[in-house]
Amino acid sequence: MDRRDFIKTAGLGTGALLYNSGVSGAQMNPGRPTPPPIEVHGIPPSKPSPLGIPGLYPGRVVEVFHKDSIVNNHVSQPIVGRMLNEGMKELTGETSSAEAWKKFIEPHDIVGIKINSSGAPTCCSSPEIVREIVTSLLAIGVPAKNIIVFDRYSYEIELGGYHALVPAGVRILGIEYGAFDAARYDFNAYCDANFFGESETRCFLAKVVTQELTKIINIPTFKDHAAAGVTGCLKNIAYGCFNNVARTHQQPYTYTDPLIGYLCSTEPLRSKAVLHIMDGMRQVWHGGPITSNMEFIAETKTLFIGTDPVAVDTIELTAIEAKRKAEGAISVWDNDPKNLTNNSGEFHRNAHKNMYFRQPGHIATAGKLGLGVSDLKLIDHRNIRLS
Amino acid sequence: MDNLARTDRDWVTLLSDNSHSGGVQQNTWKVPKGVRWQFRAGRAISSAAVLRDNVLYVTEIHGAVYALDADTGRPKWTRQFPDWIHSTPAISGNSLLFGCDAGKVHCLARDTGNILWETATHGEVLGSPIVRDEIVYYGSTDGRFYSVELKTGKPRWTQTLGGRICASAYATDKHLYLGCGDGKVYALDIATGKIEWSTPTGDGIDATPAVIGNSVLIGSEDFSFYALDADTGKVRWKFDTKLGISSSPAASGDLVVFGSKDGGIYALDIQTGKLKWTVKSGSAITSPVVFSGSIVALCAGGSVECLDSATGKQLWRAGLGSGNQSAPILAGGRVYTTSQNGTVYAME
Repeated sequence: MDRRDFIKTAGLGTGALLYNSGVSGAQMNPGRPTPPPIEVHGIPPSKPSPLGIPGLYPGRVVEVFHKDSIVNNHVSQPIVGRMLNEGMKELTGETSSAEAWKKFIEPHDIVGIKINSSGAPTCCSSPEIVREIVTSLLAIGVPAKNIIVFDRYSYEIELGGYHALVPAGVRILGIEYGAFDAARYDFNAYCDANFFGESETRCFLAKVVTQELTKIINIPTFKDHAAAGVTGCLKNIAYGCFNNVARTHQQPYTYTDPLIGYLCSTEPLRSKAVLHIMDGMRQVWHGGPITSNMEFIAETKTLFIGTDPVAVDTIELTAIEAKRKAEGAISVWDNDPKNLTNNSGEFHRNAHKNMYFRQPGHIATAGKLGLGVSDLKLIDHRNIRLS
Repeated sequence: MDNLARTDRDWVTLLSDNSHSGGVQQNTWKVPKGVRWQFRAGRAISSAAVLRDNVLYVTEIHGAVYALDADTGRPKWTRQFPDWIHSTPAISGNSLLFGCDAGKVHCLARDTGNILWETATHGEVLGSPIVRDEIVYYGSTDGRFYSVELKTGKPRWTQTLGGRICASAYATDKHLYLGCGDGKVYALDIATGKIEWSTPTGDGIDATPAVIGNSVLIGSEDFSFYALDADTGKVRWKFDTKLGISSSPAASGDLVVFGSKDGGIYALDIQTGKLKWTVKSGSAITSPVVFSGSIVALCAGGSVECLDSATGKQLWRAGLGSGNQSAPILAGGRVYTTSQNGTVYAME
């Protein structure tokens, strides 16, 4: 086994990583046992790709806003298309969106569009954004048959209606229909760790990632997360491309930190995830990832674009924390045991409750693993307001 | 036509029969007292079952097809295909037809499970084929709508539309009506496939229409439910909900009922589009709605439930412990339903 693709986390304690992010381990993880070692067994490419995470523009995040991009829960595809074009040009410095896309994608690529359908139908990757991305890919010569819109669970894709809403000829792929269905996972690419004494300790990477796709465009949503603190670029490709990940949660503890970072560092996922376009049309500021409570969903009318998932997620985390503070909700970093509930219904109605000691530190941990920039002061955050 | 329910014990397509009335024929409804049997396929089931001659036919996501004795749940035959199956089967005579995610439509002998013929498309066939006058009609996510002969699978005509076709069509003696991913409702000439008219909605369509009188009734992912003139496609009325609609409607008398992803079950006056009643469910509804006499039935949030069609009042509900978005069958005094955890239930 190559040294590069076998990493042991022993000695890389989360407490130390969290200490480096400015919060003490004791505050972060009251009573949580030390994370176990994680073995990362990837399938590295013969030649590392410069496009792989953190990609061509480490630390750069382009935020694009248009006040009419979503109105009364209806996303405007023409406006979103314009936002995407302007954002891509700003990210790359190119004068045309086609040239911007060509920085990442070639006509012969097999392109996976990794959506986030877990909040369907209330908050999932907007089909309008997916369609505009498909349009951009077709415009630079990628045939429709080379485009695969995918996510982990087929039934969530169905609930989101994607099978009807993307252009004809594009493939839709649910990696599995339900739990315990491992047929579409690659047993040669996995992360292995035993968190709570579970019998199956490996998370396997989807075959579509290891065997079929050559590039991945990641379309996460702008959501808080009951366990990870927020779910953004990192969690969308980590927990959405590997199986057997729910075992990292056992109330009130969760090992989303550090597992998310290690999953994202696993090859070939890391090399193929070349672009991250966060759908910030809606912001779920409490109750994520799956909520239908519109009280906690704001229309934020924004796209975040970058090649560095850590930087994008850091901006996301800052924005969600600010929104929660403005709404009088407890912090995503809150670790007061008095605020814990094991009643899911109560959590989804009450922004002063937690189901887990959340782990937003997973973003900084990913930064420590070389996946991007998590220091806000070092992030090149560019804002575009369109009208 | 041989794909109409012969008796109140038959249910030969997704929505009962080719009229897609959802079982409006006079079934004898009895409140089920319990589970008569359950069959565990072992893998997920996304489609609805169909029923004829006391045999229940079920397709499973991972490619298995089962013929189950409707009294006992015991398999009469099983056949395994290599591809995923989302499509609800349809019955015509001794033919059992269904599509698969690899783009094929399979025709099996209903009594043996033997393959009679197969055809191919360039996308997934997710919807349920329909049969009328010995011709099979189905759409594909390749954007084409196909017509083939029932006996041989030989092509008759193909029509290219503007988007993915995921749901079933509604057939009359002259026309096929269907929704498309390009957001349009289409009326095709049933003999030639020629587009007679198309009417745009605000987003893609994933639901099967019902046609009552001269109105085409269908929901769209643009959050609205439409009644269109069947001759011209002109919008007669539309009704707004708060999220997309992929639930296929059922209609009876002057009432049309459908579910929305906003969790609402809506009953509207067919002539005016005026709301008669609405009931809030706890989860998004994508299940087709079916009628049985004065009963409205659908699946929502892991349960199957029956409502009084006059008031929306819940009359009966059975929690299944797993997600379920397929149409239930109400036939022969029983309720049959499938579940995403791979279980087929017969309740009476």
